[in-house]
Amino acid sequence: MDVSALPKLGVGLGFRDQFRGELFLNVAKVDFLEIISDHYLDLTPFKMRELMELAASFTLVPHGINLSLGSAEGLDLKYLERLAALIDKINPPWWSEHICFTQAGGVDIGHLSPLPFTYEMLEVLLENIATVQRYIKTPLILENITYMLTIPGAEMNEAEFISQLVRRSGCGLLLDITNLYINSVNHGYDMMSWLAQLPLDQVVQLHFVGGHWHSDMLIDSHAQATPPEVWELMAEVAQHTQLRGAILERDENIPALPVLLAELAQARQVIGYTATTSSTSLPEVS
Amino acid sequence: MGLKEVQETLATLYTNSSLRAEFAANPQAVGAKLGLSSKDIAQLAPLAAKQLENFANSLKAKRLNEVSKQLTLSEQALGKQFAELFLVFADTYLPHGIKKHYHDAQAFAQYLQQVPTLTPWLKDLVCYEALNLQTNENKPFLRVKFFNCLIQPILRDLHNKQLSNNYRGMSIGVWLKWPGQEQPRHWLLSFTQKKKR
Repeated sequence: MDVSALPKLGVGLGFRDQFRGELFLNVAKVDFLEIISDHYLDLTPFKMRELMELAASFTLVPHGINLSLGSAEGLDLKYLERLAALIDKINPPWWSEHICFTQAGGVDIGHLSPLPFTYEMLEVLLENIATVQRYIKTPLILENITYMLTIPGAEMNEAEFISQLVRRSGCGLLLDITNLYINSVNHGYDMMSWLAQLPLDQVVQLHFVGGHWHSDMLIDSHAQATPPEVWELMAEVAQHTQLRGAILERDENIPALPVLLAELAQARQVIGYTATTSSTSLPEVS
Repeated sequence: MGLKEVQETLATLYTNSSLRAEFAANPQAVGAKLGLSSKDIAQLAPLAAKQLENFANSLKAKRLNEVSKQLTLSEQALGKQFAELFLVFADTYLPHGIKKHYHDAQAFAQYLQQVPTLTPWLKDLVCYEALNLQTNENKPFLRVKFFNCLIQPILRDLHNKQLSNNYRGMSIGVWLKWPGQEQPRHWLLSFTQKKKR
C-alpha cells in the first residue's frame, strides 16, 4: 500500500454515544472520528440522522469488528454486502478490521479471537481479504489484537505473521500500540524487538488507550487513560512511520470530553502533528 | 479435517462451560467426540486450561457489560443478583449477529421472567425495560402491556436510589412507533387500588 498517498487525518476519537452532544461543541479539537461499522449496518432513522450529522462535521473512518477475516469457513457475504454499502455511503479514505476470527460453525464468539500463526492460516486470511477487496475498493488496514490465550501449533511469531499478511495482501496496518504493550506484558516479550520486525512503512493508523489489571493480567478494557509505556511506544512508532492518523479508543469508564481532548492534544505533541486537518478535507457523503 | 474444524472446536470451547471442563480433563476424548483428526487433537491438546478459562470468562464479562448497558434499570433494581443470574443464563444462550447485545438483553429479560425467586414487581420492571428497548428497533411498533405493579413509583424510587418493596397496584404501558419515526411515543399510567371499606 502506498501510505503516502493517503490523506493525513490527524488525531481523533473513536465515536461513542456518551459524548455525542459535547462532541459537536468541540469539532475543531477532534481531527477525525472512527465509527464502529456494526452500529450503522441496520440504520434506524435515528442512526441515519446521527451518521449524517457526524459526516457533516468530521471525516469518518469505519472500524469493523465482526467480519471475521480469519474464518476458515469463509466470510458472511450478506454481512460483507452491508458493510460495503456503508463504506460506499461514507466514502472514507480507508477502513479497518481486525486480524482475528469471531465466528465458526454457527457460533458467534462475541469477541476478537486469536488465530494460529501458521501458513495455512495466512492463506485463509489472504483469500478472505481478496474477497473483501472485490466488494470494497476503499483501502483496508488491518489491526493487531490482544490475545489472552496462545493457539498452539505456531509456525512463526505474531510479528512475522502480520508482516507477511500485510506485505502479501496489499493492506495497510492499523497498529494498536496498547494491544502491543498489553501482549508484551502478558506474554513476556520485548515490544521494541517485536516492533522492529514489522513493516513500519505500512503503518497507516494507530489506536491508543489504557487497560486495567485483573489478577495477574493486563486487560484490554479501553477503560483507562493512556499509560506512559504506550506514550513512549507512540513516540517510537511516530519516528519510523508515515502515520496518517491516530485514534483514542476509549470504551468504558468514559471521562468528560475535555479529558479525552487533553489526550488527543498530547498525542499530537508526541506524534508531531501541528494542526487539525479534517475540516478542510471532508469527503462527500452520498 | 483442518483449520475449519479446529476453529469450530475453539469457538465451542470458548462458549461452552461444560465442554471446556471436559476438555481440560481429557482433551483427546473431547477432540474425538467433536470429530477432530488425531493431528488436530494433537494441535489443540496443549491449549493452556487457565488461558482458555480466562478467555471464556472475559467473553462472559463482555456480554454482561453490554447487557448491563441495555438493562440499566433492571441492573440497578436487581443489584448483584443481576450479574449472578446473567452468568447462569450465559451458559444457556449464545447471541449472534450485528445486534447480538440487543438479542442477549432481550433473551436475558425473558430468562429473568422465569426465575422463581424474583419478586413479581422486579419481573414487571424487567419486562417494561425490555419493551422500551424493543421500540429502538428499526420497525413499526404498537404494544399495550398491563403490569401488576406501580411502574412509575418504581422508576421514581430507582432514580432516588430508595427502592421499597411495596408497589402494589396496576400500570398500563403503551408504545407506538410509526414507520420511519425516529422516537417512539410512550404512555405509562399507574393506578393504586383503593381499599374497600
